[in-house]
Amino acid sequence: MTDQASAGTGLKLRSSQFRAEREESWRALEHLVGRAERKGIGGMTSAEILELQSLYRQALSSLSVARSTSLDKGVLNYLEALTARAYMVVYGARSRFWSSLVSFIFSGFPAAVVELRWHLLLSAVVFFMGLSAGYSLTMTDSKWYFTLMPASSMQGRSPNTPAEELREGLFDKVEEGEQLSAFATKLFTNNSNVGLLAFALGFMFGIPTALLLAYNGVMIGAFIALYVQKGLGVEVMGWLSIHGTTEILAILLCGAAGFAIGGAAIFPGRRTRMSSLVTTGRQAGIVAIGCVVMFLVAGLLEGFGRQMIVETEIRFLIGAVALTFWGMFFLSPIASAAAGRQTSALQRGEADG
Amino acid sequence: MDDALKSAATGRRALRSRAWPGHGWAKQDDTRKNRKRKPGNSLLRELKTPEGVPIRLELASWGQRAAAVMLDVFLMYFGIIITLMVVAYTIGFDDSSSFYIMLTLSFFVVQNFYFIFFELVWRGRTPGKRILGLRVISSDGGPLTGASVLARNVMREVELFIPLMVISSSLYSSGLTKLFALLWFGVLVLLPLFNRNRLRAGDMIAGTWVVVVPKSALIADVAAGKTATASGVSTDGGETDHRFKFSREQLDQYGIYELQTLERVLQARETESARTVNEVCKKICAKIDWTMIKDPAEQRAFLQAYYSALRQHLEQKMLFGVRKEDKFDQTRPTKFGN
Repeated sequence: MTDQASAGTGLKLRSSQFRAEREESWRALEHLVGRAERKGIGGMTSAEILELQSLYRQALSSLSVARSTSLDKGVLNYLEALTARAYMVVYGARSRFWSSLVSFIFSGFPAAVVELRWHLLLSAVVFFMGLSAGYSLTMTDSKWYFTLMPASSMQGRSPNTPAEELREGLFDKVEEGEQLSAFATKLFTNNSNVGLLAFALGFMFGIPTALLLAYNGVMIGAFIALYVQKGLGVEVMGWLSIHGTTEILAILLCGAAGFAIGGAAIFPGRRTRMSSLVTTGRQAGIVAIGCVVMFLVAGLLEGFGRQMIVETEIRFLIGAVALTFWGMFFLSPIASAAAGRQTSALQRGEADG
Repeated sequence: MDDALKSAATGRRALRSRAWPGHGWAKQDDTRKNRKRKPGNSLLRELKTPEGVPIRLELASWGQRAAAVMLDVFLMYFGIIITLMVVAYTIGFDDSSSFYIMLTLSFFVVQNFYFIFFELVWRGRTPGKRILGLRVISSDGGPLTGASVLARNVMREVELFIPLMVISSSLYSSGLTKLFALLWFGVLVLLPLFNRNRLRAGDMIAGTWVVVVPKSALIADVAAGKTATASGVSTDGGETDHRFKFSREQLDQYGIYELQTLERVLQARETESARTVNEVCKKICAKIDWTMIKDPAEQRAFLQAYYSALRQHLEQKMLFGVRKEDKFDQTRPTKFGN
């Protein structure tokens, strides 16, 4: 579409000339962007991708020039739309699912947890305060159990059930077929929801998060006290510790993430509230989704491990192994950072000496 | 340049505050006040790209986002149910409890990972968003990171799925809990309506926007002389241009708003716009003191020539930093002024 009028003695608009010179490259960009939108960048050759990027930058510069020198509304609208589409193609999330998942699991999640260590301490404090409150209340008067535990979680266990029945509950062995019971599945999906709720409630300045953590601590404290009163204290700790170490750690981490968000909203430091919320939110979101995975692991441990393994000593062992594993996993970024510093110090020492 | 963009994006409001001399409000019908306001699109935003050039994006409205989410949720559950039914008919389940386990597990996994999977692999789009032409982008102009995708979708679990589960589940029998869950859901679902950038809670903590993917279509350049006629595309030859030569005062009558209105008139098909062309011609001829043209073909050619001349005139003024937004925008009085 050349400027026909310029062939004669008509007006030669600079903006028309500008458009005529660049129109072909815009059309080429439109074609490439259309292909990328439909089929994805993966289907394009590397030459095409390079061309896409260079055409995108050319279109941006055309847009910049057109905004200040051209009054052709058609061209302006076209370029605005085209550059927006090209921008989305060039700067969309390009990572593949599995590689980003792997990098998230092995480096993003531990790093985010290390960032939130003080919030983790705070949630641990709140949780264990709740736990000791529930425990001591139920130990002094077992009627507290009925107040503290919601009816749906009791499942027939109460201060009135005889000790033998409770012991059976801790150690009943099931046949091969029925391992991951429906109840266990429901439990861990529920627990995951509780954890995520603790995270999201951090949005409201962390206060509901603290209440949720404390309440869960109270429930578990009352539960433990119930068994301790019947003389089954050690057994119940074994019963809990198979999956409990993982699950309680996950709840604490969700609480930490919630506190982080609440803290970002209340104490933004030198940044605006929104930008501090965004930065912390990304870290906290990583922690929360990692906790969902941890809940899944805890659920599997609970469903399979608890039914299959009945010796209390082995249960404690498994709990300790799980705790050590998670400890090493989350401390790995610190370890690798320290190792990095050591090797660079060694290298400098060698260079000097 | 920024002012130009802003005024184009936000309509006439940016100009109302400017005081201009020599303007008679009540005397004319066609005052700025009476002029039909351009449909102001308050959802347009500027995003600074890493290259430094701001691009114009349109945020998705609440209704579009709600529709996309409903579509996604429907597809999610539909997919799960169909898959499980297929498995039930082909392989079969041992008993009802294993079916229940599969159901709960798959709901759990899919609910948590459906959105994350699609937003990572399809560069910020899920099937629902793709159908409606929406997209998630990072509000700081950089690439959409995995951490943002994770953060915004974890919040969605809490905004949408948990309250719905609480409301519909039998585990929480207390009416008060259900009411609280309903309130929670209501507030979070309506949150985008109460902030400037239509952010839901997940967007706020992840730093993302949801925008509409624009459609680009390039129309012919009116100044090049190609206009649509009944018989196809024709070009004005060089001869007609000679008849229409306009003086500086004649070109000073109108501004950018009128120029773009004229462009729209000229781009319409000839068969539909004959009356409009006649009207516009009459107005312009009256304004610039030109003898009225009766022949329709001539009228079109006249408007064409006036458009080209006016555009060149205004573009030259723009190069010197003078931007005449519309005919009321006067920097100095003219012979035909109001």
